[in-house]
Amino acid sequence: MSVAAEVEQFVVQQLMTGSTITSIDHDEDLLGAGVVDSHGLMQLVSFLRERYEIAVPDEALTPENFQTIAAIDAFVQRERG
Amino acid sequence: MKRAIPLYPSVYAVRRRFREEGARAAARHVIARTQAQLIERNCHIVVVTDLHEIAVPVRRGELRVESLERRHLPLLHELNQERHDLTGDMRFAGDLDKRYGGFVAFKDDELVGFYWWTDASMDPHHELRNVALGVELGPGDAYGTDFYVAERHRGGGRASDFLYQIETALRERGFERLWGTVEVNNRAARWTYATRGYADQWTVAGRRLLRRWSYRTEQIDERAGVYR
Repeated sequence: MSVAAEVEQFVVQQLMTGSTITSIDHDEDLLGAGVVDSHGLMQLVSFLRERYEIAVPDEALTPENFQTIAAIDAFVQRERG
Repeated sequence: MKRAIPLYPSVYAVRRRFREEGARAAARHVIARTQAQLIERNCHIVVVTDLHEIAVPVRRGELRVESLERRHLPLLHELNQERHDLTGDMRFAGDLDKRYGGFVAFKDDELVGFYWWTDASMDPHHELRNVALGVELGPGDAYGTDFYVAERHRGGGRASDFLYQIETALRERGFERLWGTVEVNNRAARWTYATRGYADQWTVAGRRLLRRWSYRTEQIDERAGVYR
């Protein structure tokens, strides 16, 4: 499974509990939709650390890096080098 | 009566370390505990938002927000315990005596969180009086503090929705800017403020030596991680 697909699965299953949505467009604005709120961001950061062994430093916690699934995917690819 | 800060670690803990982990571990424990009693550091970021431009959150937390009154204090006690704030109950009762403002948020009938605020017409808040935050409140300014959302209610955009309702209520009272502070290490809170459009102004580094605190204001270092 690709990084984008795994992140999408995590977002749908963990950050959108109670919702009937089963998939998200990878360009959907997660911040605007309130999916990645402060609590969601912390869960997402833990997921990236555990799944891809990526430590997310303060300076990387920008809306640009977490706005969409595509942006998170690009961030992971960059950090993995 | 003020209780003196003990300058020594507990004898019981040192003996236990010595018994279980040896002399070196016991010595390390003594040094660490003594250092913690002597010196303490913290760092906050001062943030501000323009109440003329309040962003409406897409996801609403289904919260009912009310002005904080004395009858709410017993409910706040539970949240003070949750956040290990031993002086919170007494401080909040005093804050009401000083006519400081506050808001409480409920989901159904359960308390979700609280928020306190002051303005230039009130007694200066102890954070503004004792901590060199560098914030000078003008007539259109409010200063928000002690913002807390109960752990079991975090997520679902509730913190953001609570802030939105606070900002709207303060704007309706005629305020134009809302100031606040957030701990540098509190990433969740910093994210909430940043995504609601609060602008980081400067950092205030605090250092306690024995019982005396000193503060140093510093410009924001972009590389140090400010969510922009």
